[in-house]
Amino acid sequence: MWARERRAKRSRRVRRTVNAVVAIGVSAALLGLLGFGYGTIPALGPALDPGRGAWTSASGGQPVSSQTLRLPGLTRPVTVSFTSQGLASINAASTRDLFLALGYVHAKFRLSEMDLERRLGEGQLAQLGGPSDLASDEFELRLGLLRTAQNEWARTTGQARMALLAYAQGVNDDIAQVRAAGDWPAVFTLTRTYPRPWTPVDSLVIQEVLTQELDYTTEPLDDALLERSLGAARTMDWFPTVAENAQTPYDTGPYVNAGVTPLAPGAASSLPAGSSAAATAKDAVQTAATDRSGVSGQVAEAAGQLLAQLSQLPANQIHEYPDSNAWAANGPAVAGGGALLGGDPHLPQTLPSVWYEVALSAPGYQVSGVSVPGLPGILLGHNAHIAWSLTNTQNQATLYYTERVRGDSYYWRGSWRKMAVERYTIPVRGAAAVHLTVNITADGPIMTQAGQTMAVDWMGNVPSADLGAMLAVNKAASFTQFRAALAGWHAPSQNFTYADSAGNIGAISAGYYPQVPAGCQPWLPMRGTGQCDVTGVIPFRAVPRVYDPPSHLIVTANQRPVTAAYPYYIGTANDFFDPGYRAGYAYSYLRAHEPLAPASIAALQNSVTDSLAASVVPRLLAALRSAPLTSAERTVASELASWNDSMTVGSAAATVWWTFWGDYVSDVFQPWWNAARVPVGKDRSGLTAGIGLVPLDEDLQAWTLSDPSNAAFAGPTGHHGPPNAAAAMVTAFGKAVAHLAGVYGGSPSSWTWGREHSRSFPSLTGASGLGYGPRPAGGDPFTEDAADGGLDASVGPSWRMIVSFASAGPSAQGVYPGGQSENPASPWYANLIPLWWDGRYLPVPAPGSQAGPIRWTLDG
Amino acid sequence: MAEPHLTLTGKTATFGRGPRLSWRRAAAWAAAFVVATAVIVAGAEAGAWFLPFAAGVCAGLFSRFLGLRACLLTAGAASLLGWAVPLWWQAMSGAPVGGVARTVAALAGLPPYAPVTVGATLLIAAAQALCGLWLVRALTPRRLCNTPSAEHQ
Repeated sequence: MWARERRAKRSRRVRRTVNAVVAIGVSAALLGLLGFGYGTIPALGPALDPGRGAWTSASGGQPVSSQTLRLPGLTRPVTVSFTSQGLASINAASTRDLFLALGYVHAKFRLSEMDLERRLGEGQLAQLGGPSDLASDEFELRLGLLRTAQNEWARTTGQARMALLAYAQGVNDDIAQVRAAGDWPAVFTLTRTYPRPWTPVDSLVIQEVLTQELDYTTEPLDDALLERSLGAARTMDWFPTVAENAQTPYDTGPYVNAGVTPLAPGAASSLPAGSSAAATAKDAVQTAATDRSGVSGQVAEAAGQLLAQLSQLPANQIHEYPDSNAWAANGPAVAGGGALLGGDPHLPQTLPSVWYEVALSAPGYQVSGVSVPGLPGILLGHNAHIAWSLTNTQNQATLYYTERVRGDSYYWRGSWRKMAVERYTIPVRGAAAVHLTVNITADGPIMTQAGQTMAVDWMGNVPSADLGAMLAVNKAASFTQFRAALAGWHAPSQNFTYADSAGNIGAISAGYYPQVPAGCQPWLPMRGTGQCDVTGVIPFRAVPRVYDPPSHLIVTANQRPVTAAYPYYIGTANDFFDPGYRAGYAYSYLRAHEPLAPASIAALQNSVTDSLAASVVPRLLAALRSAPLTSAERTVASELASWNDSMTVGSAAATVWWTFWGDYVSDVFQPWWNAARVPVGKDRSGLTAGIGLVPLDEDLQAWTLSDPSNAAFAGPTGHHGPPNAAAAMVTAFGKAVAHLAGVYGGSPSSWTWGREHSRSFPSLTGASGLGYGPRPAGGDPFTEDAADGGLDASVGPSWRMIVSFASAGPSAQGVYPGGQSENPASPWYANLIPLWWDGRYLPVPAPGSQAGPIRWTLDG
Repeated sequence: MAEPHLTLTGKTATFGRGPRLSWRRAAAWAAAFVVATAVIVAGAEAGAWFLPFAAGVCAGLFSRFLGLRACLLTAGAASLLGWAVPLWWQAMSGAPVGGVARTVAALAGLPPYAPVTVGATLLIAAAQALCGLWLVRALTPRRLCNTPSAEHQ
């Protein structure tokens, strides 16, 4: 009896002890998880605390109302007015107050975006996003955006210095207010990683990030792998310096050979003083037309390793798609005379957008257009006298060098030299910090040591006063002043397209075009022993340009801006000028619609006509007429015959065309790729024999139209491919019809492009629930309303602007897909997308005006 | 009377049914509930996100004298309401609470629906209260339970 009681008592005691231990464990685990988080799981207690956590970001999502705000540092009151759609206009009594207020307004609406972008450039993304962002941080710290920005800041003087300091103070005023109120944007409260104070270097890092996205390329790496597998002669033939197809350069000459301008001593890409004289790039072009040296296995291995490293980066971190438009017309080409400008830069279409639309007004500074959150000034826009828009020049600005290395030294110009060393510690959310050592040679930072040590010399790493140049453009009142301002613009190289109130138009492709000695091959990794170092850049007076052309039309659309007669090397077809379809179509459209009005420009910006289809489909139909077809193929052929080459959502012929062209490119080139074992897996976007590889599109178009018996159609030895273009097209057409019938079934008329193709505007945070789309959409990479990045496109017109000087003053309209606020709870988060989608525009607020009924008064 | 109740360790425990409520006792409970709720609301505004746990601890202590069910209900409801009131207040002030809830859910990689985040928030408050109460009851001497008021005889 007693024994049973004792056992029962012991059993109760054990259960009680277990209960207590489990309760302690669960409580500790719960409080620990809530208080500190685990791994990448945030500390949910403070994060979801309804009084201080992420919920407080609701205040930033409330509709904006008129109010008076205190802004330390202002010398005089500043007014900020907003239209009901959120477009802003800032009026200040001095440019310093203006830039301070702009910094404040940017931070008020885009603080998370600004912090994310500077983290990206400064290699601190993993602190926010965890180990998945480590590859990006390591790449950026190796490449050295932060080092370049620090160098630039040390050299920044004058108005740019004042603007950056004032701007930083405005951003910090907002950060201080947010910190005091505790209403941080949700991304900060969830991660409990709050933005540190803003500095001018942060702004310059953001400028560098934009430069990298437009200017950093990998073509020499891809070319090395292509040459290693396909052989030098074939690579040269299919990836030439000047494209095979017809091009429409905007600068047709005559050209000036003005030697080269040395880069500033001490710059990352420069040679020390006393370097050997440069050969002209004409020599380089001639070299390109003869032969290429072999690429060693070690170089190919290093190239492959570096490409694999780059493939870990977030989408669009380096330059991938060439898709911007800018057109100018004047004189008799414009209804009523005067000048007319249209511009739509094609960039990753994200939420929030890369742009913030604003009008800026202070004595001596009146400008309006789109700004970049993080930077003072207007990047694309107009003032009372001039308007300008930008397209990417696409010239080669990234050069790779293989280095001879021994320990901590490298061999350069006949002797061993110590590498410069930079050490970084990368904080990683939910994991231990990572230490990174970066070695730097005279050619630039070492990016990989797999197989062969490889350094990169990128023009974006050369410190330059681009912001000062842009602020001078903002104030320019004539082409002379515009041109003088652009002499200071170096990276990224841009085609600045211009129109003014006096009725003039022009374009200047400002930027650095690196030149190397004759005999060197910049389209491949070069030897880093000194012989092939950059000798200088094309002098500003010799860069591509045009002013008031007799045609009264200028089109820049990322096409090669000059003819083959241009006396400098600016890059090969693979580096990667647009195939010219958009430029060619724009020229013909604008000529056909003269005299032009803003509505003509709007129609062209929203056009989804594929001019490649316009040139190739007639040949395809001719080939099909003499080929035996199934009844389904005949039906599809008749759809194509009645098609207007427009990639509209409801067009079935558009789907057939796109599928056909992809099959055609693949059918012709893939056998060669297979035979040569091209290592496509190293860089799918840069090596796959498909539509994305621009030179192959150009080759195939050229052969189809004027060399239909090119030996490439038959394929490599033993393949027994079709003998000519017509036979290859018939085969590809049959394959496309069979594929689409298998995917969509039913009547061919139901294979509409909208079922195959869509657009998405992903959130910058990567959160799928905060993006827009996918939504069925028209267009393709070759249409003016370009849709790039795959069948669910996420790259395209990031801003559409039309400025007319037909009347007394400028009349501007514009729209971008997004909204002025980054807060998804705000009514201004995505409110402009429907307008953009429907091809509608809003008046761009004029500088000095009251933009709308909502008004802030900022007072120091 | 007491009704059987299983603890996490599987032990059958007595789950005290409270004494018949007089209006005085009801008023006292209501006052305790209001005070607890107010403290949790104020704590949330001050960033003291752990107050629901503290409320659970207090409830656990009092439950030895005042009965488990009433204390559990008071602490749980006060915690839920203490975290719901600031959200409700923000929503009533015109703040886009639903939009923020969708944003937070999306940033967390969850379906971007407001109830997901609102539910998670309230669940955290309730879980804290329950855990606090459980912890105290597991650690405090059981002898306290044998007092007349604890057994509600």
